[in-house]
Amino acid sequence: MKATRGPVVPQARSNRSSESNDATAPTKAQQQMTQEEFEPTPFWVAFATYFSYVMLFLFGLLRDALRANNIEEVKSAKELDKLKDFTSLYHGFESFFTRNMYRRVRDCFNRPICSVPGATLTLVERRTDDYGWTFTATGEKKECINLGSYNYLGFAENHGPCADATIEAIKTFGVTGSSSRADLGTTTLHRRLETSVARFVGKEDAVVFGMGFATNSTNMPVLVDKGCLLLSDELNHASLVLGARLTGATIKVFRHNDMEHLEGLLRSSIIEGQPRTGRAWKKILIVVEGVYSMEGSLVNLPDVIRLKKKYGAYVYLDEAHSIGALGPTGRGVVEHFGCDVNDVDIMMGTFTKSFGAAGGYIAADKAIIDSLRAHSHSQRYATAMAPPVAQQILSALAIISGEDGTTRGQERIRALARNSAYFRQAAQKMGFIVYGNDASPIVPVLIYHPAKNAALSRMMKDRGVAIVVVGYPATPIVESRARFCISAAHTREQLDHCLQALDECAGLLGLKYSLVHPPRSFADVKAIAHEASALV
Amino acid sequence: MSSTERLHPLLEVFTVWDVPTFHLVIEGVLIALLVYVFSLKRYRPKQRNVKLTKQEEEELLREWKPEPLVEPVKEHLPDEGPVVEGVAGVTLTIGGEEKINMGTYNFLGLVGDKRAEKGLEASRSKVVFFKHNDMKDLKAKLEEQAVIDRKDRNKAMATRRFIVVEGIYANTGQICPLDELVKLKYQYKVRLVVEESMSFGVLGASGKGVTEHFNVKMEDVDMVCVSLGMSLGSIGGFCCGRSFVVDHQRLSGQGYCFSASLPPLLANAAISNLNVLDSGEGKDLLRSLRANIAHVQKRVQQIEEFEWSGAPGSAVVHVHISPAAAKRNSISTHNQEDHVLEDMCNKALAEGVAFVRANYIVTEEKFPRRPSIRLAVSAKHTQEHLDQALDVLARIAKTTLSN
Repeated sequence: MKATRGPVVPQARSNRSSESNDATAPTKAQQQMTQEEFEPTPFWVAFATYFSYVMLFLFGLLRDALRANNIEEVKSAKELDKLKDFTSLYHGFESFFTRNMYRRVRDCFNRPICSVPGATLTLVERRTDDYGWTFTATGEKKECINLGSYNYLGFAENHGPCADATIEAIKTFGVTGSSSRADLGTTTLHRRLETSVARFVGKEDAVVFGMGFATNSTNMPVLVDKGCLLLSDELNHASLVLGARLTGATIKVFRHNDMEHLEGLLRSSIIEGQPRTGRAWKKILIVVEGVYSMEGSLVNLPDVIRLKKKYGAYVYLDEAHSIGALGPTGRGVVEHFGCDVNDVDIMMGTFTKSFGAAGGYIAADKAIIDSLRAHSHSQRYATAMAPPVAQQILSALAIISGEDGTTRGQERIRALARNSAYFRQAAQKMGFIVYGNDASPIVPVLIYHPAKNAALSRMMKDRGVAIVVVGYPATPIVESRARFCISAAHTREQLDHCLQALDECAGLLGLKYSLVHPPRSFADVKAIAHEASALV
Repeated sequence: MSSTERLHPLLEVFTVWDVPTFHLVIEGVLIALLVYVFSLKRYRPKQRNVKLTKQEEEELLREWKPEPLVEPVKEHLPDEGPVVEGVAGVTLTIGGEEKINMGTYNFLGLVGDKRAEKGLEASRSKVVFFKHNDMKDLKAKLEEQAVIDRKDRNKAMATRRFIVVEGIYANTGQICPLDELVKLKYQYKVRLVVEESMSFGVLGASGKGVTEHFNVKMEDVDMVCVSLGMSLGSIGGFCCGRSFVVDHQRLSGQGYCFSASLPPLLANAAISNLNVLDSGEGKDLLRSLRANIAHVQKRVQQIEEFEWSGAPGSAVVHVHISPAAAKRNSISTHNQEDHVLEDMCNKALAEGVAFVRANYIVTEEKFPRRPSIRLAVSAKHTQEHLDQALDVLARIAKTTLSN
């Protein structure tokens, strides 16, 4: 358990190098950038959370006993009678969790929407008459401010230059090439997109794929195989985990952003060689993400690069949440830290978030991209990226990089940075426990308690704010949280409305847990900020 | 000391209840046992006992040189087909010229399995391969497993098992004998997963796929996976099964939980095309598709340099160089054959027909595939399109394999 008693100091998870006289040692400014707050869970909160899970568990057991004895009706989907003597499809705990815990809060998940997921969105109202087993649409709709979609630069739009160009692309190219890239699926758009992405990221060449998840999971096996070592951050995304498993390489996991642990693993692995045989590793690949989507933290890139150089490893950087969103010109976490893009071997990213599209890319040296083109499953066996999707990315990319001749892209990038800092700092000063880095557009606010998590989601919806709450198994069991995704499209008024709503809900639910920042109302925080700016 | 005073009332319990001595003995033994269990050394695989000096460590660190991240690509065959400019309909534009399209999957003309194998790997299950479409071999493998199961009943009870097949195999054009598979399913209690990308919208009276083709009830198949990229003229895919299965996917499917949702425009394209398939127009398209398939298969048979694989009703038709023609032209390896086929595709393209050589990642294939040109028939091809395409193919086959 992470909880500690006594005076609590925010735990700064910054990892300085052990040898600071190193030539490639990060600068002071870079070190400041890696300062991140992770206030430990207060003891009584952890206790109450465990207690509530125990209660849920006991009630679950009771209800299951009632169901087994036909006292309570079984409402979940059942296996067919003729399949009764097959080995059961699911194992105990998972279905126990679904039946007895998830079902109680099901209304907070899989919510259908019926609009573009921009700064605001329209929710389809649902009703359940059987406590969450089934839902029916009531026919009503509710417009909410959208704090849930990864619409960082606000390109989720149904009008404007991107949408127009995309519609034109459908007219020229149709919806799909119905063929893989290796067969007849490569259109002029794909070619243009790859050149643009390579230029934007600052690499020699790039290859794009129709699905971001598959970009990771099908391309990692091309790069490393048996006899190689993968060093993976413990909080890496499921697609990276799957990709790593498919490679057949040895996988070692280091603690989130813990550079000392990473260095220790690098040292001992090289010294000991491969397990059992002791042979030297063929190659070592460090796999990290730019922004971690559950923690709102940034990779400690300067130190990762220092270690990579020191030990001769390669770096695979997943920029799904940082491309477009970080750095003065939106070129991601490399630009944010002022690192050299040549020091990162594989630059991977997705188009789902900042570009308002879908799919993913890998940018790297030409030799690497050629190899991916020849050996990647996504290149040969999957349908190529949809041409209109490629067009949407091309248009968004032109705006972000300023190639359209305007400053609209720059304005969006600046608006995102401003909005993220505003929301995060306000939440922090109100007394919430907020995880992560100041620069991150993801603001996770810790709720801990599973019931409060669901209650917050419902109460915020009542106040016209759509949010995403996540809990076990996506997070550690005591660290359920609300994950706010800030967008350049949000206005200051909209953010204020959300913060005000959050303040009200916190009052009712008791969410201002921080022992560092005393609880304050949103009005007070605003007044203080106003005074401070007046003094300057 | 106050501690003795505090202990005292605890000890009193024994006197009050007058516990028999053997009770105390048993508990004493239990406590001793616990102490013994906890004091046991944890099993650790043998570690190297050599303790290296700092200097030796540094040396090792210095000496280690990684291999380059990728090997230079040696393959000479192209990784990408020609660049397409515009809609890939029954005809498409390459290099500014219009070509007849015999390459892209557009069975119903609604456009403007390998996947399974990676999935098997990712599931980290024990995977047993049976001979392609060979029910006898499958039965033998199932029987083998049944013998093992009878020996270890507990393990057998806990092992979920699945047969994974394709409705129409993309790589051979064969149709799986679903009726026999269903029988085997119930006989050996193995669940059945069918990949229907190539058969959905092609087989069955109303295009519902291989289940309809064999008149098998949908509920006898546990899961059907279909790509939206073939008959439905969109991109993406769907899984369908009983809600017992699909509900679980919504919570545990990686593609559902951790990947971005399908772009609405692609979803909408699939919905519209599904509606077409479900209407009278769909019936017409299926009729025309079947006529075209029969025509292509008849014409392909007549080209003597080729052998074809595919089943009646399959819109995917593979043509291979016949052993006789290969021998005459001294083509002995798969690589040579691939080059000849690639060359033929290029020649055909110059004559206005886009063919596709079946493209495999040779190093990754568990079983070597026979090189082929893969024809994809569409409902919207006209008789003239097909005749022209096959005339070109026959002519090029004759000139290329002239010996």
